[in-house]
Amino acid sequence: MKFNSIKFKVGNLFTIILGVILILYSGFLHLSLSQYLINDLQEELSGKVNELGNIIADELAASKRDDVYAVIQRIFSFQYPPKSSIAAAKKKRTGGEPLSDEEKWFVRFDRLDLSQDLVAFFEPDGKLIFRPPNISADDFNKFIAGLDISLHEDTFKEVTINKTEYRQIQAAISLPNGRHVFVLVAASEKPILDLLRHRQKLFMVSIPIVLFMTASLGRLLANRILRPVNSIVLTARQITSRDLSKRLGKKNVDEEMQELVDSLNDMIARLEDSFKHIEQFSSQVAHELKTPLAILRGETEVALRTDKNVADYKAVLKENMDEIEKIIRIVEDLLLLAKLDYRPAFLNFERFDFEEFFTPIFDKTKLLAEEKDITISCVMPQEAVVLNGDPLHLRRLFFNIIHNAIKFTPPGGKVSLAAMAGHDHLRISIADEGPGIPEEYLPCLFTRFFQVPNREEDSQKGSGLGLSIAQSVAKAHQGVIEVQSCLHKGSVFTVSLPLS
Amino acid sequence: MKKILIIDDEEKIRAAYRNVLAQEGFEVVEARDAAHGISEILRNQDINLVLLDIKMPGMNGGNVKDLVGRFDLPLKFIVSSVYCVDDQRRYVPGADDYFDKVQGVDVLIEKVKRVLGCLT
Repeated sequence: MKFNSIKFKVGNLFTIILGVILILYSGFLHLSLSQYLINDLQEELSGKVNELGNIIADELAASKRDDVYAVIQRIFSFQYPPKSSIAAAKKKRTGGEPLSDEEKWFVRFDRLDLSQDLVAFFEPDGKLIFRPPNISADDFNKFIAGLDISLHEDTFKEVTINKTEYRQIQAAISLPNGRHVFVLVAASEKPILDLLRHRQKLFMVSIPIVLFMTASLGRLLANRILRPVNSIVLTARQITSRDLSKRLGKKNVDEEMQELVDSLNDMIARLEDSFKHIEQFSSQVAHELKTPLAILRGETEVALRTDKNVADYKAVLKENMDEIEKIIRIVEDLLLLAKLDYRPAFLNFERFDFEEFFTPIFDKTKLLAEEKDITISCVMPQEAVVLNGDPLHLRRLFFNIIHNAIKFTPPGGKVSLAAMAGHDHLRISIADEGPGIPEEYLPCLFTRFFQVPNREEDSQKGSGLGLSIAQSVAKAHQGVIEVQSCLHKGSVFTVSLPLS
Repeated sequence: MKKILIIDDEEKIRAAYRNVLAQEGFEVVEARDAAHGISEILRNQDINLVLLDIKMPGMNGGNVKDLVGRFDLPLKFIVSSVYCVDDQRRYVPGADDYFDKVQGVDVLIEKVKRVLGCLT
């Protein structure tokens, strides 16, 4: 079993925690109960001493003599009457019959019930008045060992007599003539200790049972809670890059799990899209790379089939060079796109003046335009504008778009460039007088390898990556490229770059 | 003499295949896209085999085959593209053969001859 598994935590960890809590709780219960019972016993002892005081006072008053010895002797001569006698006296009293003196004592003593206790009386100077019968001298000595005649308040202590724990009270009983006697009463703690021991045994048996049940229930519960997880795992195992069509089921799944299932399903859907995209893209890459390779192979094979003169071979090699260059360009463009998309940090950002940056681009494209008898104009921003970006790749962005504009503008046409600084963006528009782009193709204009169909410029067919690169460069600079196009009139590409 | 029509937007490919197929004794005509290809087929009723590219500007090779198929002409088709053969079968089903252009002209000649019944 793994220690960090939910099953372990629910099944065992909670059981351990519950065990510790139960043990601590039962310990606390034991302590408080024994405290409560001991207090109860002490109160009972205090009550008995009080009652003894009352009896002595009553007896002294009734006998009209001042003989404490005689009174105590008399009291305890009634002690330990047979149970049957007490029961008979009680019966008589409930029946309303008059009770004899002796019977009255039986009832009073029954209320006092000293039958299980040890009682001893002492003169104020510690001289023994009365000692409990049926007790050995050794035990008696242990019983009275704690007597302290300097103490007049009720005092409690624990003594062990004949291997039994007793709770003992020492009290002073005041007599009518201002004198007092000391009394020691000891009651056995055995019933209390037996009760506590019994409870302790109960705990020792019941706690392991409770813990075992908790552990079993916990494991059952964990299994039940985790059942959907197992089904998710099973389905997830079936989902591979070959088959992303499966989705995780939501039947009988708890609410929290549903969220998990939804998130996972969303993730799988996104993965499926990505894989489809990758598949499509790699098929396109293969197509674009294989086309020049097929041409290379075809031309080379044709050249090798018959002997030719040097000029013909050179012509073939020159054609081959064109195709090789095309392949290199596609590979480099793809690498650049991958870097722009997945590692934009490779760009070298610096601050530069826009006009200083843009003039050489304009000059270079001007030469291209002149070759095609196209007029190209440029309006620079009125104030100096500083951009933060990678000039090398921004140059590529503008060159790609302007190159397209020149390519699609017919000879004698016009290409207009204009840069305008706005509040926080610099907008550079490139307007051509080309055939325009049909509206349905606008959304895919920046898609890799996309080329607007039915364009006549077969000889200048590009790789279909130029605008993708332009857009990726713009994105890497937190910029955007927008296109407006009017069929047969021309297109306007607007590049917005944030001002530094 | 068997007559072959090459429909391909790559001029260099057309030139290379025309060259080798002519050397093998076939009469070759060319079309630079699907639309031109269809009009060639309908105009020259004696074409025996069409070497058909798939990805071309405008209509693709599959459209050509579907359209021409309605005329019930005794035409054979070899799809010739840089897509791998599996993809070609998916894009243009039902052609007589499929040729991956990077395989080279020898494979092409063999396929052409087999489809036209010049090989036994």
